Amino acid sequence: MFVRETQTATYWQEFVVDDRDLDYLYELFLEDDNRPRTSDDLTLALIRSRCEKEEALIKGELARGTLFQPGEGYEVGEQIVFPVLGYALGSVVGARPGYNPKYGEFDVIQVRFEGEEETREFASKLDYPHKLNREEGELLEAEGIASPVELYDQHGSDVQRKLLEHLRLSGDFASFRGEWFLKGLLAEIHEGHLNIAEAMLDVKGMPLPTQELLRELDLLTKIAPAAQIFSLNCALGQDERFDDVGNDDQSLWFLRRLEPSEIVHLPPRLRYTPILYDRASLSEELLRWEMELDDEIMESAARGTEEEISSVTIILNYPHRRVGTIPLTSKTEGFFPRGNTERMMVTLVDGRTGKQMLGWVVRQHKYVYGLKEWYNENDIPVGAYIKLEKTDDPLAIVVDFPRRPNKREWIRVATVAGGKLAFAMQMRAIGCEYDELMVLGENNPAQIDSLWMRSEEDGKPISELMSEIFPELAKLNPQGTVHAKTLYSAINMEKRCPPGPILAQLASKACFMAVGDGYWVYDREAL
Amino acid sequence: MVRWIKPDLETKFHIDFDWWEKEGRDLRVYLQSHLCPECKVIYANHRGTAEVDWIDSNTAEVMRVDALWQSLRTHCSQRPDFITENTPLTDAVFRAFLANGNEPLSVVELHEILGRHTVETILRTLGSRKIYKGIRPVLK
Repeated sequence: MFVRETQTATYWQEFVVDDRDLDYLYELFLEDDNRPRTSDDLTLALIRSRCEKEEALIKGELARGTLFQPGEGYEVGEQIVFPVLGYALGSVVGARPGYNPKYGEFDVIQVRFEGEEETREFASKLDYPHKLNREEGELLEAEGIASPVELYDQHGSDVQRKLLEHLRLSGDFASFRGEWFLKGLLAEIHEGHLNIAEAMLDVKGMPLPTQELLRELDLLTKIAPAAQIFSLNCALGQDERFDDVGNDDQSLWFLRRLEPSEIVHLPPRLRYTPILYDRASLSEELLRWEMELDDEIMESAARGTEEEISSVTIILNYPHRRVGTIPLTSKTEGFFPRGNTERMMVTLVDGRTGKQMLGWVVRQHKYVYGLKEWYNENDIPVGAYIKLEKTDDPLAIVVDFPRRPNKREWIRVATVAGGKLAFAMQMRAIGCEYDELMVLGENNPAQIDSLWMRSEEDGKPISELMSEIFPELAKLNPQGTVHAKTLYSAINMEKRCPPGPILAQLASKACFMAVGDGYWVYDREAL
Repeated sequence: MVRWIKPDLETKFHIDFDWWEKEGRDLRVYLQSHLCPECKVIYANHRGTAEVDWIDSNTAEVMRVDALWQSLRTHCSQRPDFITENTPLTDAVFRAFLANGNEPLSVVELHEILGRHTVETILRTLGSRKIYKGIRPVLK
């Protein structure tokens, strides 16, 4: 059996990138296609190279003498290679008959190894099964050994970590988004090129893919297109003026100064200061309501379903309505592209008119920005149903709302009175379907903003807020009941709050009594 | 005359070959009786087995060894029926020493290998004045 060190876990655990590996990678980059390679490509190539070098070494060792097999006979003076002893080369110095009833007749040869005084004895002409006896042609076959791809699957992460560390330190390699290339092969991108790119983005007013920016730059045509793209990506990535707002598939470049502030900083209306509460107090029914409300800042945000769905409908809450965003929740996140960039550009398509709007996916803070004007133009109220639909283009998402004839309806409308939120039933013209429990109107957004800012500054506790808002909502119906969804919707006018803390208050405070189906009454006396 | 000392849990035992000689008994005949059926066919006679050429199964290197000991250690003792629940205690202990090349073992270690009988039973048996199959404490 041939000893292949590359087949052992220890070999890869103790693996150290050496100069020969780097030489190999240089050659790889200089090959005819001259293109950048991913970290995975380089790791696999390195593993393959090590395996190939080992095979070549084995062949070289075997060429030094006759391969030792106990079934064969050897002459005194013959040079023999012992693969199982680390390809040691030995010379036959004697022979004698062997004796063991177990094996029948066989010979014993005396072998002296290079650099050793003592001889060692080995079986020969053995007519008894032994694992070192191989058929002709079977000698170098990789019988049962793992291929480089299988070795990559088993040990690739360790090798890659060490390789990338080495590449980063070497200073000869450039990297961008998990791809590597030799710095010496990069196209020269000077300040003038970057100024042209900036001007292009200024004129277009929207993000552009690298390929499009390249068209105006007149780089040397002898440089392969993939290398040109990589070179420009590296240069743009190092210049503070530019921001990569692309996705996993490609880079899209935009100017930081043209980006809306809502995608650079988390809009204050969406900022949640975590509230401590006892989740154990939430009954199964309350947890179901929490799931239904599906707020992006929920602690127990359920994982997105694995099932491939083409459309989803959400209920718009006050903070997202005001900022012009869509929450990225377990229901919606699968509709938007993934990527490692802080911000990703998408196209939001109006389901009715087909008009295209620039959208920005901010995964870190779980929202998609870009619908402020659309909400305003369509008079979409808080509590409206918003429908998202996938298209053939993963970067284009249709946004729509179920329309209906514009009809005046009685809805809860918020005002500010005496420094608190007050609610009254008022007639409003609404041209879309909405959730009756969540729908809210407002007469003076500026007043509500002032109240919200004061509330934020004062750090008004959720319990105080609920004792103010609950009675206001309760007075709007003869039974004095308020639904948990209505309360959640109203509280979020004054304070960003996920359902959990609100439901925990309802469950644990004696002043709130459940009357069934998610409705509650308020008993001031119990305070 | 060697003074008899009562063995305890830490006392190491082994097969004392001198005991076999003094008793005038042939150890090799006895060893042969412990071979598995397959090896009994190969080494049908215990004569001529004291030094044979043993071929290493990995390297094919040849060693001059005692065929009975080598077979017992490398082949017969690997079989699941070498020591069974039905093997008498003294036979089982003897076979445990055959399997490990007669490395001294305490009754606690023997108990771990055999996986049956109590430590006390093994100690009572091996620690008595009667010597079974040459198994006795190692003299320090």
